Amino acid sequence: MWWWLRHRKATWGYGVLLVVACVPAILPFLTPGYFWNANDARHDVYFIFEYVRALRDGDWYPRWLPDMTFGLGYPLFNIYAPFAVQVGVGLYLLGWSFTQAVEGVFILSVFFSALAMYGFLRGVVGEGAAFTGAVAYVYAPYHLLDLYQRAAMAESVALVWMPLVLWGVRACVERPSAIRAAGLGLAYAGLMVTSNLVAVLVTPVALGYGVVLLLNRRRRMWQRLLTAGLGAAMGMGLSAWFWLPALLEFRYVNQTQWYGGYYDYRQHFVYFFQLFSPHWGSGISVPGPDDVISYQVGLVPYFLALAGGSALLRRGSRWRVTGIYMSGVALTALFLTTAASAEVWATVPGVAFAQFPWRYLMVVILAVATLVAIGVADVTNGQGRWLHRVAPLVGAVLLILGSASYLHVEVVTPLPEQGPPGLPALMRFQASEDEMTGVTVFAKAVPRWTGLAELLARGQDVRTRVDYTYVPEDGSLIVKTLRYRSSEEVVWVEAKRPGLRLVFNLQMYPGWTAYIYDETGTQLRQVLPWTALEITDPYGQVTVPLPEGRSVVVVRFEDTPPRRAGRYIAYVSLAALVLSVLLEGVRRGRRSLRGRDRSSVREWGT
Amino acid sequence: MAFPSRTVKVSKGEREVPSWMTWVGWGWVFLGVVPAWALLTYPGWWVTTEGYFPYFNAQAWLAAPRWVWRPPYIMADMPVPWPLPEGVVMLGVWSGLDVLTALRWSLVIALVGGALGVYALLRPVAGVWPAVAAALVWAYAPYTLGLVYRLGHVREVWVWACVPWVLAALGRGWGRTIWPRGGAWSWPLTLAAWAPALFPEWAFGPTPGLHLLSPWWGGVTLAGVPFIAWAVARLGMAVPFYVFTLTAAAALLVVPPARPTYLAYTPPPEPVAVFQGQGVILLEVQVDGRLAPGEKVRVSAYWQVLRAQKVNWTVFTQVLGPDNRIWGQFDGPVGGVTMPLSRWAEGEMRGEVYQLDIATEAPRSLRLIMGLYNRDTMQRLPLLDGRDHVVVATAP
Repeated sequence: MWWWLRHRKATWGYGVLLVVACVPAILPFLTPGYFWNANDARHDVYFIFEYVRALRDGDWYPRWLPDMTFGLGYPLFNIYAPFAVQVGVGLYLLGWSFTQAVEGVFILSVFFSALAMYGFLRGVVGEGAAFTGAVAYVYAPYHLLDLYQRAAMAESVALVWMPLVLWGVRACVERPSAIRAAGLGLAYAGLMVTSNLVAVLVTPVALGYGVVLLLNRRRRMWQRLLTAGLGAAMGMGLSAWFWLPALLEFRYVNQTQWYGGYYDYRQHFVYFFQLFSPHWGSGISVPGPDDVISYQVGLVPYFLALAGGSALLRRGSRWRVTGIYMSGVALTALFLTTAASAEVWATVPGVAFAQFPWRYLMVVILAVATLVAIGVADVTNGQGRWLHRVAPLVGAVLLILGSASYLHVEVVTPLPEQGPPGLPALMRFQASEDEMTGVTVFAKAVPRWTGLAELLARGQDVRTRVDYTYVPEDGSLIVKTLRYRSSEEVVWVEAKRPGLRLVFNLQMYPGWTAYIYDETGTQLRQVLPWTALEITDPYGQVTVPLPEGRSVVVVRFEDTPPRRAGRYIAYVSLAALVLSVLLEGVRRGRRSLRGRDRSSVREWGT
Repeated sequence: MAFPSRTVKVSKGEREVPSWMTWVGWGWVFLGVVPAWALLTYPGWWVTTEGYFPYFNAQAWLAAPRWVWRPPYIMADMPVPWPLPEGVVMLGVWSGLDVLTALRWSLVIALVGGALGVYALLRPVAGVWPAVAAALVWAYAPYTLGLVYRLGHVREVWVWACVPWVLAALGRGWGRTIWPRGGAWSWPLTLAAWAPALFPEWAFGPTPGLHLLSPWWGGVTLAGVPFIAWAVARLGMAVPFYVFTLTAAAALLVVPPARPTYLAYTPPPEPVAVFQGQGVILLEVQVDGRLAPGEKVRVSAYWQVLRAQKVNWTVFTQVLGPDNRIWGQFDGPVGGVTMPLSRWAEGEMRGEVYQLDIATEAPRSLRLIMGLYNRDTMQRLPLLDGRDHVVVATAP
C-alpha cells in the first residue's frame, strides 16, 4: 500500500482531486427532504420498501413483490435487475430512512462512476487527462438528468459499471491474464444485475472495442481473444441467476406495459436541436419537440470532445485507436437517439430494447468523456509549460461550470400519494399514477383498485392473500390463514361440498405452486404446479381447486427450471472465477520466486 | 490517407501544422458552429422582435418574386430585394420545404457561412487554429446569437455573414497591413463586444437591449474578432484544446441566455392586421359559429407584440349591420386583466377567445369587425393601411 502511494502519487493525487470535484454533484442530495416529484423517485423508495418487506419475511432475493398492482403482486425482480435496489436496502439496514437510502445510492453512484471512468481512462490517456474525462462523465447533462430529474437509480448505478466493462475489455486484450478476465467478468455481471437494459446497450460497444483492440494487436491474438472471451463468459455466468429467468419468463408479463402505449419508442425520438439546447427542466418525456426535460450533450463536453477528435488526426498516439472507436460510438449512439434511425429501430433486433431512444445518450456520454480526456491528453502529453500542466484543471472547472445551473433537485413535501413511505401511500401512488401496476399475461384487465388495496390504503397490514370475495357466503367453505409471508401462504380449509375453489389475491405467474396436505398438514396429497393451477378472471388470480373436506393448502412462489439453471450456472462461474484467480496467484508467486532466485544467483556470481 | 507532410509555421507561438491541416480547419469551424445553429432546427419559430415578419415577407415575395424593384412589403421592409437570403429561401421552398423551414435553414447557412468567412479572412495571416478560434468566437458572439435568436433579423444575419467574405475578398493586403497591429490593439473592442454577455438579462431579456445598439455592436464585434486570433497565437494556445476551451467558454456565456423561446405555431401567409407604429399584430382570427341573428359566435384571435407596450390596448369585436349599427359586441383588454399588453415581452404571442351574442332582431346581412383602442382616450389605433378596424367575417 505504502509503495503504491509513494510510486503512484499522480494516480491517487488526481483520484483524491476527483472525489473533491464530485462534491458539487452530490450536494443536491444533502438538501433536507426528498425530491418526490422526480420521475422515478417514488418507484425507488417503494422498490426498496417492498424489498425490505420481503426480506423481513425471510426472502433473501424476492423475485415477487407482493404489494405491487394493488396487492396482487408482480414478479418485478424476476425481470428487472435488482442490484441498485439491493444497495439501497443495504443502506436502509444500516439505519438510513427509505428516502435517505435512495439518495445514498445516487451519492455512491456519483463517486464510483467517477472513479470507474478515471480507472478506465488512466490507462489510455494518463492521470491528468483521465481526471478531466471522469469529471466530464459525472457532469454530463444526461448523467445529471438521470440523477436529479429522472431519479433513475438502476441507470445511475449502471454508469459505474459501463467504464469498468470497457476497462476490463482493454485489460484482457492488452495484458491478458486470469485476474483481468475475472475483473471483466465481475464488471459485466455487475452491469447485468444492475440494468439488463443498459447491458444490452453496452454489450455491442464493449464487443466492438475488444475487436478493434484485437485487430490493433495481432501478436498472441488467440491468447488475448481467449482471455476476453473467458471474462465475458464469466460475466454472463455470474449473472445467469438473473438474466436467464428474465429472458425466458419475460414473455409471461404484459409487455405492452413495458414497450407499448406511452413507452412506444416512436414517440420519444430526440430532435436534433434538443441535443444542443441548454434548456433544463423537470418533467417526463413527451411526444414531440416540446419536452420539458433536457436531452442535451452539453456545450462544454461537445467542444472538449471536438478537441479530442482533432487530436486523433495525429498519427502515433497511444489513444488513437480508442479515440477513433469512441468517435464512431458517439456518432452511432447520437444517430440512434434521433428519428433518422427509425428504420434501424424497427429492423435491427435488440436496438428497441432501450425502450426510449434518448437512453442511448448513456453511451454518448461514455464516448464523449473519453474524447474529452483525449483532448486534454493531447495538450498535456510531453509538454512542460505551466499552461499545459493546468489544462486538466481548466477543463474540469469549465465542465463543472457548464453544468452548475443543473445541480439541484426539487425538494417537496410529499403528497398523500407520495409518502411517507408505507402501504397506504403505495396504494394511493398506484391509483393516482397507474404506476407499479404491472400485470402478467394471465390478466385480462389492468386493475384500477382492489378490495385488498382498500384495506392496505386504510393502514391495515393484511396478513393473507386469500380473496374472500370468492368465498361462498353459505358457509360451505371455511378458510383460516395459518401463516403468511410475501412469497408463501399456508391456509387451513374446510370444503363442505365438491367443486369449491380458493382464489388468492395473487397474479398467476410461473413459479406459483400449490401443495395440498391433509388437515393436520403432515401428509401431502397433491402438488399443483403453476401449469395445473386455475386462473380467475379478470386479473388472472391464482386459483386452487379444493378437495372436499378439510385440508391444508400451501401456496408458494418457487424457483422454476430457468431460475434453478441460472443459479447453478452462477455457482459454477463463481467457482471458475475463484479458481482462475487462485491459479493466477500461484503462477505469479512462482514467477516472483524464480525472479528472486535469479537475482540471488547474480548476486553470488558477482 | 497520405497527406503532404510539409509543415507550415504560420504565426509566432503556433505549433507547426501540416499543410493539410489548413483544409481540416474548415471542418473544425463547421463542427464547432453546430451548437450555434442547431437550435434553429426546432420545427416552428421562436419569440423575436421581428416576430413572424420574415415569414410574411418571404410569403409575399414568393407569391410575386421581383428581383429588381418591388413595392414595400408588409412592414419594416425596404423596396430593394435581397437576392441572397430570398434566393436561398426560394431554393428551399422549391426543394419541398415549407417557408418557415426554408427560412430557418437560410439562417443556418448564414451562420455557418459567416463563421467560415471569418476563418477564410484570418487563416492566411493568423494561422489555422487562431483563425478557427476567431471564427467560432464570432459565431458565439453576443451580437451574432442575439441577432439570430432574440432579434430575428434574417436579412441582417445575412449581411453579418457576408461581411467577413467581403473583407476576405478585398485582398490579403488588408490582412497583412491590419493584422500585425490591429490584432493586438483590438482588445478593447473585444471587451466591448462581449460586455453584453455579462449582463444577459439586459442583452437578451424580454426587451433585448442589444437591438438598441445593434448596428454599432456589429461593428465593434467584427473589429474585435482579430484580437481573439492574435491572443490565441501569441499566448501559445494555438492547439485544439485551448481553441475549443475558449469556444466552450464563449458559448457557455451566450447560448443559455440567448436561447430561443419556441412557438409551436404556424401563422397564415399574411397577418390579419398590423397596427401601425405600435408593433401589435393580429396574426390570425378564427370564427366559430354562424354570423346570424340570435346566434353565439366564438372568435379566437392570435396576437403578437413586437415592441414593449406602454398602453394596455383594448380590443373591440363588433357585429355590425349594413347601417353600421352594433348587433353584438365584446370589448376587453388584450391579454385580459391578468396579462395586459404592457406586460407582454417583445415578440410574445398569445391566443385568446371572445364570445359574442348576436341580437335576435339583427338583420341577416352582418359583418364582424375587430380593432384596438385606447380606453383612456377612446382613440382607435390605426392599421397599416390607415383604417381603424379590420373585417374578419361577413354574412351572408
